[in-house]
Amino acid sequence: MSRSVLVTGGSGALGGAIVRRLRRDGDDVAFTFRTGREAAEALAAATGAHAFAADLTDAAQVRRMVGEVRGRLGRIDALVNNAGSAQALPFALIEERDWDEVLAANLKTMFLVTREVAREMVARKGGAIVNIGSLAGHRAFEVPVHWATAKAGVTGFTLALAQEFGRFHIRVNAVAPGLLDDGVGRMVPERAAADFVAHCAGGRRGTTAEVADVVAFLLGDDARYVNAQCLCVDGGI
Amino acid sequence: MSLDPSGAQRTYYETVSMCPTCSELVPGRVVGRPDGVFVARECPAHGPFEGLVCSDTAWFEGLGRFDVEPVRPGHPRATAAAGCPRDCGLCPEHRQIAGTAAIEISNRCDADCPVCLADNRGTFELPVDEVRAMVDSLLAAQGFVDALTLSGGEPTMHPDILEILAALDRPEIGRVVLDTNGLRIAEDDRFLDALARRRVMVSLHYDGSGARRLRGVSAEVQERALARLLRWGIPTAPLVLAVRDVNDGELGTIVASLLTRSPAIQSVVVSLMAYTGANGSRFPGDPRRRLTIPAALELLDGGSAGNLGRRAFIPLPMPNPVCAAIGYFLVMDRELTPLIPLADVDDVVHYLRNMNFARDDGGLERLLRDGVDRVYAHPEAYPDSERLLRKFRDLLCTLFPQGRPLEADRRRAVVEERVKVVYLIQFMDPWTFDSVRLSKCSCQHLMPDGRIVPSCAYYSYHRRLDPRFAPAAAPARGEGA
Ligand SMILES: [Zn+2]
Repeated sequence: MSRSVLVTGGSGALGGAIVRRLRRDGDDVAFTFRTGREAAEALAAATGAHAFAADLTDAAQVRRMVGEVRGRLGRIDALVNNAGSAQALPFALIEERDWDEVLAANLKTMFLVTREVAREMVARKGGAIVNIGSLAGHRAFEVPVHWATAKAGVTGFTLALAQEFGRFHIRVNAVAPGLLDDGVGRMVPERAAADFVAHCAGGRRGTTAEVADVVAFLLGDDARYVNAQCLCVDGGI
Repeated sequence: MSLDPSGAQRTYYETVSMCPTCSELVPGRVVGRPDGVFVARECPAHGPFEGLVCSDTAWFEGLGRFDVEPVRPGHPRATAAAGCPRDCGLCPEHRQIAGTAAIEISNRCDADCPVCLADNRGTFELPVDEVRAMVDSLLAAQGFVDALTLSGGEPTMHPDILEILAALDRPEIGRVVLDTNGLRIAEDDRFLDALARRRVMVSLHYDGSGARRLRGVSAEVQERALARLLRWGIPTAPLVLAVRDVNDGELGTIVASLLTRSPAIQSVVVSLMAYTGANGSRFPGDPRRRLTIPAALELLDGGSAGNLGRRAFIPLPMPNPVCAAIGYFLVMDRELTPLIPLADVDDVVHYLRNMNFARDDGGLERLLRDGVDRVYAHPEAYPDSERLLRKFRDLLCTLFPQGRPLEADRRRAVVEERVKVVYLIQFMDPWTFDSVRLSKCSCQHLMPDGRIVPSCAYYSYHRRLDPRFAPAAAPARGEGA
């Protein structure tokens, strides 16, 4: 029987790569988008995945969206919390509203979507959740402080939820990419990017497809004994 | 430095100057008094003369901080036998490479500017190959040049001007500048179409209400030329000639309105009157009361809500720092924010060192980052600090929009739209001629025989010796003199 997966933030570079990879594995895939309608429609057309518009910081919209996804896919076996956003601001320029927005876009969305989706996993006593963090949540990098804070929050969310949901056989893991060649990685200044590459054992940036491969592994049965992990996909730093 | 017995005058250094009447080179002294800094000399035939170099003695005495170690030019083309300025070519005593190299591609002109520093006799037009060879010769000596200016004469009248621009589209030249009176641009659509396809920045004479008196061209024609350049999207650096008692009262408003007018205007140049050249040397006015950089900054300040004043500028380190000043401005919502006051002056000097404008090398970004942190850490020193920080925040959010990163080209375009440069420059004339100041000149004329001559030495001394300007110079290409 094919698996049904919900991926948040499918219109971005990494979300798109995850959707494509899961479709290639034969999963039924739904994904959400907020602003990138054109990219979302193109991805849906190219992969046969289902696109749903929603502002994931709004609980009512999340509830409606999850209801629609269930209506389309019948059930949700696995969830990828990938939605998020970043702002390239030095600490001195981060305003209160920027802090609130970035933390909401990266963390509140993860909470609201997980709360809606996990009900059915708990009821069914099974499921898999993968959250997208960042190496910047673990190590010192030249990235905006509010964004790094949110990405560090992904780790705590993952560990505690894995502990709490272990008794329902729901595995919760996170993937922490290093510097990628697309998506948020394109906002990193050349100088900082060169610094990353110089310290990376792999000697290059990663690709979104390489991260998507790890997400697919963690969602799948091959990872049945992998839980409460935060897997760095960074080429070796 | 020596003080005279009364203590009212000090001599900074001895130099070689010039008689404003007969142009003979004579020994001179650069002296400071409470009313300014002057070049003093005495011609055996015409008596003593003083020319004002800088109206603010304290400003002049503070220039050492900006006087960076220059880059010695390679391959001198002359020996230092007769002494500066006689041996130009450059001679081994010249201390600085060219930041701006200028080529007078013809001496034909369709205007007759009363302030002209050249001598337009209509006797020559340089062939494209000759221009190319002159540039090759310069680049053999220094590898790269920030700016190459085509002047004349009126360069847009040159029949091969578009071919010359194409020949200069090469990576060793930071930007090619076309210095023009605007007459052709005000009329010729096809020429603008062609310019828009070339890599060029147009330096357009734009003198406010002084246009007619200074250039013999109406302000309406200059405005029409500017409007058309902007409509065609051609990068333009308006050149405002500032002259005491002509347009000195409107400098601030002219410059401020240019800076906030269009993304195509990335810089504005304010050139202070120099009394040299066929017409400029006869222009009415008292060279001892001339506008110098500190006084021009006070005037700019007046017309710009205080944003273009002294605190917004520093002396340009590459040439002799008495020759030019530079200011950077953030333009957001038609408001000017001077960036120099946010930076550490020594950092800016170190960054600019031996260049005439910022390059895309990350240095400017670092200066801006430092500026942001300084405003953040010292709100008491920046009364408007919260608004200032918000401006930077908005700029960064424009450069790095959420979710859809801009391409590097587009980012550069946004920076050019928002970060503008103002230069003040002051050429020497026979009244202020000073061979010591000349020895660090970074604005240099290229000669057809491969020699390189500091522009101020050319305007006031070497043009007279240039065979192309000899009284009996033969007409070129059948053009009448
Ligand atoms: Zn004399």
